[in-house]
Amino acid sequence: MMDYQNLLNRALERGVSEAEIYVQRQRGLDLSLFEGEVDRHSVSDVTVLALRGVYQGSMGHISSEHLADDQADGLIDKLIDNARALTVRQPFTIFEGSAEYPVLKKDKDDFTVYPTREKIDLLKTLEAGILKRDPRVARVGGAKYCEIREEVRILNSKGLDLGKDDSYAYIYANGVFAEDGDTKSHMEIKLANRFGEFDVDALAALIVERGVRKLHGQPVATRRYPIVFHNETFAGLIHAFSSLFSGDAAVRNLTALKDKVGTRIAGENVTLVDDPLCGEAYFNHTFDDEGVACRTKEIVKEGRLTTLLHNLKTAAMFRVEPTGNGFKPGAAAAVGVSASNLHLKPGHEAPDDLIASAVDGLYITDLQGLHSGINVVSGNFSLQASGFTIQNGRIGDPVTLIVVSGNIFSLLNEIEAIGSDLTFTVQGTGSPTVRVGHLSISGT
Amino acid sequence: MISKEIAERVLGVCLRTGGDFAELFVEDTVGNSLQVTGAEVSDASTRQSFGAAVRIFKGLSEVYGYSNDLSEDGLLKLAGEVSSAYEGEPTGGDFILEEQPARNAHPVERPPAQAPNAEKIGYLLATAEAVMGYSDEISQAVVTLTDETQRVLIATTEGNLTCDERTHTRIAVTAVGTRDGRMQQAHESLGRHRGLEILDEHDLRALARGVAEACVTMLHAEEMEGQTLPVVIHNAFGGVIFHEACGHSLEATSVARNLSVFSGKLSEQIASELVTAVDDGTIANAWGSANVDDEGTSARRNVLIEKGVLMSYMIDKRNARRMRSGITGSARRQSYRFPPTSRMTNTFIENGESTFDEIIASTPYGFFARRMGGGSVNPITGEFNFAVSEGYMIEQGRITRPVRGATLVGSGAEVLKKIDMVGNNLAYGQGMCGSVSGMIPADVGQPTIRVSSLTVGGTGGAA
Repeated sequence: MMDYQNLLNRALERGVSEAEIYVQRQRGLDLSLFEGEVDRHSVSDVTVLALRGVYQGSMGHISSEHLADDQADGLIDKLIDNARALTVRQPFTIFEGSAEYPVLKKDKDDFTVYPTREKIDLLKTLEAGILKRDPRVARVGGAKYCEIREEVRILNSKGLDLGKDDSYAYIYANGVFAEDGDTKSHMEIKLANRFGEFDVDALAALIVERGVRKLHGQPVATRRYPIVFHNETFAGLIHAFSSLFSGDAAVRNLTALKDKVGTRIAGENVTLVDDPLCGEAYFNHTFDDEGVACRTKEIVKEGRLTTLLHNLKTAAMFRVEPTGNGFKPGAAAAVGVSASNLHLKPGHEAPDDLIASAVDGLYITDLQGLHSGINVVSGNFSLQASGFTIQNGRIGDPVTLIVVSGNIFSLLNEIEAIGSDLTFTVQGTGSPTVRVGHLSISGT
Repeated sequence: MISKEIAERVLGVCLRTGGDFAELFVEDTVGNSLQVTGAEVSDASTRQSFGAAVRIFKGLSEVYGYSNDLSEDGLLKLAGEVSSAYEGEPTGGDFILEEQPARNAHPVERPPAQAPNAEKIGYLLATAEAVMGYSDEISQAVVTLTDETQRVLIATTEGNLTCDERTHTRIAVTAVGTRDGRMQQAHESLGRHRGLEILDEHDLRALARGVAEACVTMLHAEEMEGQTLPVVIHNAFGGVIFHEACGHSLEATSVARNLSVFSGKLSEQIASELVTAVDDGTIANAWGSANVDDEGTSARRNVLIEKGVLMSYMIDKRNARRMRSGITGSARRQSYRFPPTSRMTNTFIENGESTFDEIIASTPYGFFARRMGGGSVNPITGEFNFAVSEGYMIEQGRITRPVRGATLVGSGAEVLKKIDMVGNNLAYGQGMCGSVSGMIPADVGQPTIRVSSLTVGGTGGAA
């Protein structure tokens, strides 16, 4: 294996003035069940090294999984070539570390101590639980258990040496439902910090309840409707637009919020919180991928934009403090900016009351195409949606194959009511149920 | 990357617990990314992916494992760990590995992996300049060159040891326009299973101008008014609709488990008689081509649909067992981290007989999707969505106003039957396709087609 300190020293000898190593080791187990049998059993152990360093005033970046000591010089050659290619003059910082780091008290299991047989049994119970619950269950498209243990170390030439060791596991299943020639599917995923948290009976019940009620969904007539968004669905929309708040997008002129810090961008009832430390969310961070301490921030407070999210570079360019949002999209990637547990602060209304108050409205429970049907620059979205009509104050008939269209900036100013039921998705974004003004629906 | 003898020993360990087939996949991939923003080189990065995976079948079940320890001890340890998921005795199954002769149908003249950045930057700067120079309303240009050179070794207990090298080079152009505080983006890319020579073989300025023109046109467009109407989908990347709405549902990944709308429909009429569709991994230097698939099977041309009749699925070794069927050379994976499964390569609808002008002229009222953005599909229900990045209304048989923000939704099985005109201008576009075995380069293609009725969403109009 490669001696990381030696790699840093070698880079400095070669004329790199500052350098940093980020190493991630991931060990995983995946189990898939299909029709009562283990269909796939997969194990993995992979280490990725990312090296960045400053050469003649520019920061170069490389990553590798070929971690033999004789590879060091080749890595440094490429790092230097990449740094020399850059003409853009941007600030760079190799960080000596924050004065202090928050401490999280989250009780986490080492999932590897539980026998594989118990994990397979969970999947069998889940699959059987789905199949027996309703005659309209046609099959289970797959049930899967995954666990990941992730160890990270950040080591740099300014003496920073930080590490973390995290693990989590999740379970999911996809139910297929059929009746009178119509077929629908429904997938749910459950992430846990402790093995004992997996309640597969509850998960099976949820999949069947939500899947069956989609059957015989139809498009509705094209017009504008009052809309209630299911909490997880609205969280998905917030997630898709989260780069609006990125200091990196601002540097690249790719967010309309670039010059809006300190101004009102949303209704007074809207407070958006970025909270890497949030105990209710699935993933937490006490420091970002550059070693900057993480903290809780109200980035939109009562409608007013208080800050963008920054890594070390973008913070320096805007002459503000880094916000601890210098995250990589993957271990091999360069540091970017991402939100962490970004969520809409909950209100006080019960979700059922929000639905009841949307007269002749639609309750949207699913949005598709969030990677393609949105324009982050303009804020416009046009997305495949499904859900239910709202009739006499209650959830009515299933609706499918419609398009909901609007603009995120308008939407943030037209939120009429916010529920009390904040929930987080596995993407790391949260929302309560939300009722908004009218949105365009295209259907029949 | 590793010797035949080591591969034999690793595969031998794989079969110790009763597995009836084992495969070793070794990979060494170098990828570079270089980006120009405006007139500045804003990003340069390199990554190397390096690892091995073993896979063992026992009947219909599969065990898989991967690591980046490629030493003999590391590989034997991995094989031991993976095979320990089975409990059983060896079933015999002696094998001797035989190296398959290397052949290369996709020659590369200027390998990009080790080429210094200085050889690449000029093309990017010139392309970005062409975007910026198109109009005062263009506020930013981002041009990205990515190249990836993947060397693989695939050895199986069927006795084959196959090596292949795949080189993918792609240039992507984004234009950002600004007008009265409104911003608009347009995007296009060009990629081949080929080296840096693609930058000389294609007219990058024309590519840049096309993106800039689309951006400015859409900057002046009104919002699409949601409605259901005839839709003309243009050639090249327009084929993404067939890829998503139909192609994924023909992959054994979903067919073998009876999870596809097209399961059990071989020889049935599933599309309009005007539709013949092909998946062809052999096209020289095409974006989705390879000499062999990721199970070591030679690439081939598969007719999926002929005159509307379903002729073939795309099938990998494992799903072939479940389907009791042959394989089609369609097994693909992003890297050693993903078990391979059936995926598309270069997938397209064949030419029909109508000209582009005839299709537009015979449409009294409709929507023309000239450039498609991305989309997604649920292969179980066939329900899909696509963003349209450049769209126009068709009125009285003529293309009239540009409209923006349109999204198409529908059901794949229905749309296939509603194709009522097929043009004669087949062209291809390059995408990255994401599915269970990761992100892979895939060509989509088609001539201009017309769908008699489709729901198009948008925020415009009085509705």
